[in-house]
Amino acid sequence: MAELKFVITGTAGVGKTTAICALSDVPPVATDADTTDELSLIKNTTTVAFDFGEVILDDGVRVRIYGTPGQERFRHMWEIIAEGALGLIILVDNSRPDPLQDLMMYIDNFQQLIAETGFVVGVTRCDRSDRVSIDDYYSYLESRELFCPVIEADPRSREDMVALMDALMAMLECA
Amino acid sequence: MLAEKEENSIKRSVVDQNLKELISSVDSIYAVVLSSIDGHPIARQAQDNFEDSKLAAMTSSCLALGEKIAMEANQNGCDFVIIQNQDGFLALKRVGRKLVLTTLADKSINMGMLLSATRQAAEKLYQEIT
Ligand SMILES: Nc1nc2c(ncn2[C@@H]2O[C@H](COP(=O)(O)OP(=O)(O)OP(=O)(O)O)[C@@H](O)[C@H]2O)c(=O)[nH]1
Ligand SMILES: [Mg+2]
Repeated sequence: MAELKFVITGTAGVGKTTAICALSDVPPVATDADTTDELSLIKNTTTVAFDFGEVILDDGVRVRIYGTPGQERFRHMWEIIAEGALGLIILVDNSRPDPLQDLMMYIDNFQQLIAETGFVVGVTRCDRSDRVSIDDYYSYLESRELFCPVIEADPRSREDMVALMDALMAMLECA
Repeated sequence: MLAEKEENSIKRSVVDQNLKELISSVDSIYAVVLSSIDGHPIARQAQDNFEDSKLAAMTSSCLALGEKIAMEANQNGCDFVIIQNQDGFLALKRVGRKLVLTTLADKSINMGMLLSATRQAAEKLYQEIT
């Protein structure tokens, strides 16, 4: 495994672009455009193509990380970005009305990538809401006969994001 | 509130007028779409039935990529993103911070015509609505 490609996905505003900025060892590329709809109440810009960053591991291996747009009208990018990926990080915003439903939607949309590789779930904004617990995520995944690590993560924290990436790599080694 | 509504409807008619002028300025131009920079369709003029919601989202991705690639290549001031095909052309041009104008033409068009018509419309739109 000389080069790895991972993908980060999840709902709009969950923190994908933020996560890639926090993680990347090279200046990240973002394709954010000004928000002109309800999302502008939450934030000023949104990803319309992809985010890109690179993490260089201790052994010199480069991990290329792509972030997807979160909004569904950009789903044409999802397939393009998923192509050739070796693993998926799904970020879930714990403060949204139905985080498990959000998780389901991204699991369904990246079904093929998940089946062929592996995935981990990062739960963000746990500082804003603890209505849904990590155990709830595990029970939900179990009900869908899926297993993967679920980790609380703040996308602004490099440390948290590295932990997610490590969990993903451990998953892939087991598989 | 009422004032805002009125202003919006004036802008709407200005937008429609500009798009009409653009599509009728050159025969080979068969559709024009104005969309928001984050991928929502706003207005369109087309010779036939024309579905623009997916196109609006895709042009937003494409323009952002074109602009980023230009920057990566140290070329400033991305002016157009052009997609040239066997069957025709699409020209994408940013209008101010929040809008994208997309012109679709069949293959008989002269590229210079396509670009200058699109540029004129984009500049006029920019002056009249922002
Ligand atoms: N307090 C808090 N803020 C967070 C947390 N996670 C993300 N945020 C904030 O939420 C925002 C996320 O914005 P982005 O990184 O642009 O989100 P995105 O997932 O790229 O969104 P799209 O590109 O629109 O799909 C940022 O302002 C973050 O600082 C968290 O765990 N706690
Ligand atoms: Mg983003």
